[in-house]
Amino acid sequence: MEEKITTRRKVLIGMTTAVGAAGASFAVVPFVASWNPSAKAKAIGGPVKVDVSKMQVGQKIQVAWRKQPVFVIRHSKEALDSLSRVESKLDDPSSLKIEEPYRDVNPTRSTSNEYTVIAGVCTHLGCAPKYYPEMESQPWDESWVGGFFCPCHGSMFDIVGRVFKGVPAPTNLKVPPHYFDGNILTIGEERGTA
Amino acid sequence: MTQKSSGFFNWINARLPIVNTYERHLSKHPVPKKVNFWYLFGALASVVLIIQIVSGIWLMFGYENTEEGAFASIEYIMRDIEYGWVIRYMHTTGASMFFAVVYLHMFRGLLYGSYHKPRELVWVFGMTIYLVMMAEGFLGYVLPYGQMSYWGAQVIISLFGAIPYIGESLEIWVRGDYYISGATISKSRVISRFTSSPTIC
Repeated sequence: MEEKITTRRKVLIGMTTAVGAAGASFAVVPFVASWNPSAKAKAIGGPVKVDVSKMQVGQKIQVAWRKQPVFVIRHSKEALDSLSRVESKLDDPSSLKIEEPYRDVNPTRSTSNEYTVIAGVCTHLGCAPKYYPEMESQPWDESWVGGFFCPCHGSMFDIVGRVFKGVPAPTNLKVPPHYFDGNILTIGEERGTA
Repeated sequence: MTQKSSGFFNWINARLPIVNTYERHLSKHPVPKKVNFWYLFGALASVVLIIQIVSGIWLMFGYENTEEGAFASIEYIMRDIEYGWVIRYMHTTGASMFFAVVYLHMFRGLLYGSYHKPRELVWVFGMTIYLVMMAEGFLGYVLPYGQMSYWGAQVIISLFGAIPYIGESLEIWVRGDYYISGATISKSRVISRFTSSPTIC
């Protein structure tokens, strides 16, 4: 008899706990979800559109996306043709070490064959690399053929943001999701995802 | 009772007697033999209290206690924050349910004479908590700073003005201004938060 009551009690406690745990896991959903970015934050962090047709060949512009700089560079045909010349200096010319969204699509690393779209944040410690497009000897590299130089710790990248060997930055500059609609570049989403 | 607890748990329990406390106050607490439906509401009141505390903390993540920002921040909570509307309605409906449950709890006390010797103080403390709850309910009502909040606050704070001699200055002191303003709602928020702590006891 005593045994029976104990078993019955255990079953009841077990069932109560199970129902309680199921309820608690449902109740927790809104509290966890409310910490996600709000609709306001999502709107502010949404994609950015730029008209790139007025850019001159060789020019670099900076666009702010989610409070981070994004560099857009319009390359001359010669500059793109000479990309292979710099490859021996590069650490990871095909961007195999990082998640490259548009690998092997264009030499620019973007979805366009003329413009490069890269995050202007050095992969070492997050400084903004400076753009030195001139093909001339620089204090940090005598055989400089144009690219980005980070003034903080001397990391070097080529004109499409691929990192040099033997510099502090470990990987190539990141390519943010983007697409071109004619002259309008949209940074922050893939085509057709909106 | 068979003890199947591990060495680590015994170590903790020897220093922080969780099991004893749990058994003394909950699992082995003596209850009337004819315990019935009416005895549920005390436990339900503590459930509602926990809901109010948690949803209240979550609302404070989005709320802004300034004259300019209060109402807009409520709109932000309701429209922009994911499930913000659920959490806010949990808090507002929870406040009403808190009173429903507490009234039933009090009715149980009256029905079964739970205030008789030696439990007079239990009733007195209960009444004190009930008054604090009403104050909290009012303060929470003021926070959105909408029409109902504003005029509600106007009426309730005017009650202080009815006190002879000191009334009028007391009224201004409570408001912290000559009309219901940001100074009033920032007090409301802080007080509605920390008065929730004594209610736990």
